[in-house]
Amino acid sequence: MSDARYWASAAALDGILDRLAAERTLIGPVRRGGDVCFRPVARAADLCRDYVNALEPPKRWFLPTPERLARYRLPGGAPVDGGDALRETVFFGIRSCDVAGLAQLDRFFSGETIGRPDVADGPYLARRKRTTILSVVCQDPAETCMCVCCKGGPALDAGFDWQLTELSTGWLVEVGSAKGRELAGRFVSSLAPTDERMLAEQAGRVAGVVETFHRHSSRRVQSMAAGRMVSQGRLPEAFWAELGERCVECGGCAFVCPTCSCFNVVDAPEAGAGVLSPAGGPEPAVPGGPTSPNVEGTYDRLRLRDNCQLAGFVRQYGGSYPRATCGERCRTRFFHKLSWQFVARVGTLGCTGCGRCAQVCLGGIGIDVVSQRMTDALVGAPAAAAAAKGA
Amino acid sequence: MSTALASVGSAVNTTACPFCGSGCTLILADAEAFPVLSDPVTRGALCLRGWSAGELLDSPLRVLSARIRTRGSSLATVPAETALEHASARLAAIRSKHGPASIGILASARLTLEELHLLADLAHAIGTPHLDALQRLGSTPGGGPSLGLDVIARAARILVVGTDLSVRHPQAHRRVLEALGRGVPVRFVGSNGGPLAALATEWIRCLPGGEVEAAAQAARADDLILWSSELALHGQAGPALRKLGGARSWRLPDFVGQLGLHEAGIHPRAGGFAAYEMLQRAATGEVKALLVFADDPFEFFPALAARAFAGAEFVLVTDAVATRAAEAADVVLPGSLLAEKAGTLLAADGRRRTLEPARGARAGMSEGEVARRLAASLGGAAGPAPRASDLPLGPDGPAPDVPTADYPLVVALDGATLWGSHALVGATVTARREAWGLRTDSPDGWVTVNPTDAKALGVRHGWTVRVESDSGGLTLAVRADPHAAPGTAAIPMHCWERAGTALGALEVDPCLRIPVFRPRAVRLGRQ
Amino acid sequence: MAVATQPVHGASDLYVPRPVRILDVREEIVPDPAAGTRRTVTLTLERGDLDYLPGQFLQVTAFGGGEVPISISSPGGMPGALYLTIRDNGVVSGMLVAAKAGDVVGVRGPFGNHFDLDAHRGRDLFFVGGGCGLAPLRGLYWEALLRRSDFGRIVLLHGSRCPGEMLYGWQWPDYERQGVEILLSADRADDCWAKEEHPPRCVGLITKLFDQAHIVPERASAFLCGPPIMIENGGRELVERIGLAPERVLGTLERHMKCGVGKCGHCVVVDRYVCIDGPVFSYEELAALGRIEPAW
Repeated sequence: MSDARYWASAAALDGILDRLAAERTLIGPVRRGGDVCFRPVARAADLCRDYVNALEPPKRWFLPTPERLARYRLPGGAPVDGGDALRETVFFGIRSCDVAGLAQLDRFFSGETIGRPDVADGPYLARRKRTTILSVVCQDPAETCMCVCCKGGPALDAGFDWQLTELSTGWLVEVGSAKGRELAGRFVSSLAPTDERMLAEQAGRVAGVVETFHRHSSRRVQSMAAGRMVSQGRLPEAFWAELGERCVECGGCAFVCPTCSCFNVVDAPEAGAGVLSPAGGPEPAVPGGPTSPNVEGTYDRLRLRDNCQLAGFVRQYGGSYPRATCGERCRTRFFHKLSWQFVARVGTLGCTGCGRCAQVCLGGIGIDVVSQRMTDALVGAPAAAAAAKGA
Repeated sequence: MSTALASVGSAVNTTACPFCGSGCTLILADAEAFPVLSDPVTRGALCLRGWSAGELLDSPLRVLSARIRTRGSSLATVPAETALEHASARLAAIRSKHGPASIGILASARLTLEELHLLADLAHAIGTPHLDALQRLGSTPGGGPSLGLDVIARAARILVVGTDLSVRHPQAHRRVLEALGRGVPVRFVGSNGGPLAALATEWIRCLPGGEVEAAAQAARADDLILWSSELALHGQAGPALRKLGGARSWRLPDFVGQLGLHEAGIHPRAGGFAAYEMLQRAATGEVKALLVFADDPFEFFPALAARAFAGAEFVLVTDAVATRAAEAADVVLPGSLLAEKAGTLLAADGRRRTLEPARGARAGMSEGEVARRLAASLGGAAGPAPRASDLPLGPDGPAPDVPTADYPLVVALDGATLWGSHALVGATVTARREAWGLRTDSPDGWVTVNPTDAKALGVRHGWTVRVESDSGGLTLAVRADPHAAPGTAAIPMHCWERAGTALGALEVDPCLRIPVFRPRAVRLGRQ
Repeated sequence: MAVATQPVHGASDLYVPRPVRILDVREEIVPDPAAGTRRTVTLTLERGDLDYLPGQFLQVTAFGGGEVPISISSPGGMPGALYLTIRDNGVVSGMLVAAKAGDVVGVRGPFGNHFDLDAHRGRDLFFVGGGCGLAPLRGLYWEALLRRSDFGRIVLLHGSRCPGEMLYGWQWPDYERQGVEILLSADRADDCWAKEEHPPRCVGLITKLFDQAHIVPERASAFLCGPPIMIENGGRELVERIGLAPERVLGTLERHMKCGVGKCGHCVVVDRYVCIDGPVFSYEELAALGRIEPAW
């Protein structure tokens, strides 16, 4: 439960955001044509207010592609770390599904989920440390939204520095962290106390969103049935083989998923500094990279977003593929997102219901469709057979 | 590259995906590509090539400086102006000594319409009739109107002919799957189906080269027919244009700028050589100079390209990424990526889309700029090229083989491997890893057959086999894939020249004057 | 050599390789394209203050190429140096096998869990190494030899595709003098090899050696390393047919890795990270993994 709540008028909130934009970097939703993205803005007035979410996930600010992990010169230079210049940043307008995703990524990259703080990921944590999260509760979800199924929203109990709910007048501000308390202290003159009516309005609005979802949305993350089926390996090969026919290995699902974080690492020569390897010769580790030792130049160890459903991701040294079919790789993804084993390790379901995978999938097999198929398989529904030829 | 949290250039910059004919729109968030949600083509989804497009911006394989080769030595970096002057001088000398028709220009479908017009102007300025693009791949007026993806959403029935849409046109593939989900009957006609053949309402199996005939017989008046250049690849361009050319038939473009090739008249004029012919004539020394823009003839025809480059007196390659062609050239000039260009692209439905640069050109130069400068120095007051009339269609190409008792399988190229040797894909990390993955595993190539055929032949997935036609044979690794129809075999496109030469399949189709791989009757045996 | 600068703004050096000099290179397997054998060398690296236990691995960088995980194949206490046996399996490992004494490679780690030799005191130890899988076991059996009286029989079973691919054969006489029993198998071999009597051998899969090894299950512990199918079949034989207690059978999983620290996701098998929860796994763990992902 958030520890303190305030009320701010719309003007007061804008004033706070303007101050933050002046002192730090303020990143919030901006509109370009029909699309919404999170970008730095100079003032609150530049922010778009009428949006649901961006297709780009906020995790890309903390796990950029490419990200330089280290750099070295040949000959003879010792490697140095990536050394990014980071600035204090405030994120405004981020949604609960993404806040829940970041909370999972925080636990993952800090090493908490594997009980190993000694292997915490410095680059990710350094960026997170320098951000303040001012989330905004969704009141008008999109057709693909499913946060209600996954404890991913519309409002959360934790994970944010401030959680903002727009009321009929002004905003309810819920403080959720020490950083949030500090911020509230700083802007105390712009914040007013709350009263019962405001809290009730907030609760009512959130309940209304949940009810609307239950009543009008056809999409669900069927986590209970899906959990049972994947956790125990109860889905037959044919189930995954059919999914494998639909997956075109575009990579999109993991690239947009708020809880996905797998990455590739390559040592890349600088832009334009690569050379083509001889025709018929060995394939370099990175296009343009050397295939013999000690080739001079500056090399960047980069990490790039990756996806466990791609064949190249699972390729082993020497050319074997433990998950040789696309269907088996789909099984990996949904195991990670829905299994009890992962809930046990990570603490929550691997999905926050943001709905992006349903949007980006060229094969139409977002987590709603797949978990529904798992449910059909669990209950032995004849619909499962019909689904084999359709969506 | 910028990896700071609040980075310069993080404005919302959209650009066109530089790869296939789907023509998606990307947002470049720093160097990361994301799909645009609001664009009716993209609708928030991309294929792996599109998702990897951001990796091109700072690829180690970018060409960022000009280079000149002095006779017998390696390429040395020089200022772009020096390289341009040098190229102009060489071309002027060759034209003066051997005539304008000794110079050939190879364009590509990676360029904007304006750049293609500038290449047509360059050909006019030089006075040469030899102007074409390997990436024309049989794209030509005819074969139905340019429809939009909406037509798939409205179709009552769909017939997909001989193309694996999941790789060739992912946005079309997506809509076809959506149609299936609505209960629309979708039938696939072909020999090597890919996933759609498995998911379709019906898979009408046929031999490679037999798709047009099978489709013509199966098609109903209310079918929306979707096809692509694979039919031309098998030598069936003529029949396809005639029989699949109705109003409800759509030949999907292969590359993002391919429709622009028509519009700008990028095809040989009277007396001019087509792209493949240009390479052949350069190899014999008849064409003395080749100007290659944003393409790599070594991709599919490494031996011919090597002979062509050696036979020509002067080769200029302009490209944004390093290619074998650039390595073998006399002068290399830097081109730019689509993300760095301003201009017009023709969308798959024929509408014009305006492109604005999402990034400044890293090398400060583009293919169009090079063309403009060369035209100015070589053509003086020649002015813009007159609009060329369409390339006339020649007679039908050679017919495909049918199986015989001695040669019971029919082999053709696997069109789904188009991207497995593409220079732009090769300059990314992620898309390359996937598209080139099988090549890494089987560097000597492979042949795909149905598992039943493999078993009957006594071979297993991964074994080495000899593939033989009545002309000759070659050795390949065998892959067993249920997506391959029994009685058929498929070879990846990067083996086009090698397998085509060994099996006697590599020919020129006079209909469109493009190289093809004529489906051949073969036998397979354990090596 | 330039000195590495301090990390700025909290970016960690978890991902920055440390330069380490190669002291020596020993050729273990000569490449033979006809037989399909690939070049394999043992690099002696200067050890510095690197502390490790048997079973652990390093992320090794061939500068300019990239990084690959390599198991450490020397015992923990060995002063001043450590051994890595590397097979030419791709571009990065290819660069490493072409390295010379005096060259510098990068190192991160050690990572992974380890074999707990203490838990097997007083028992007969069976080391089952298939192909290059003998390399990670080397540090373990070497360590056991350094405490010879703590254990009963020490038996090495080494199987390869062909005799040309066998590892560390030059050490066998010395080991046998120290009371180690050695059994060899080759998937295929000529009569010449097959007829040699010493060490005892057979032509066929490594599991064929189990009967020759005269294993007394109540006293036995087994450590398996090699291709997954060998670990799966071998483990099952040892437990189900020969009767070893499942907790006395340990295997290792090998995986493509990009980080070694449980972040990149490449080494995940079901819900286990080979770099964090492994590479050493018990037979039970492996069997549980196999129920969800049969082809691990």
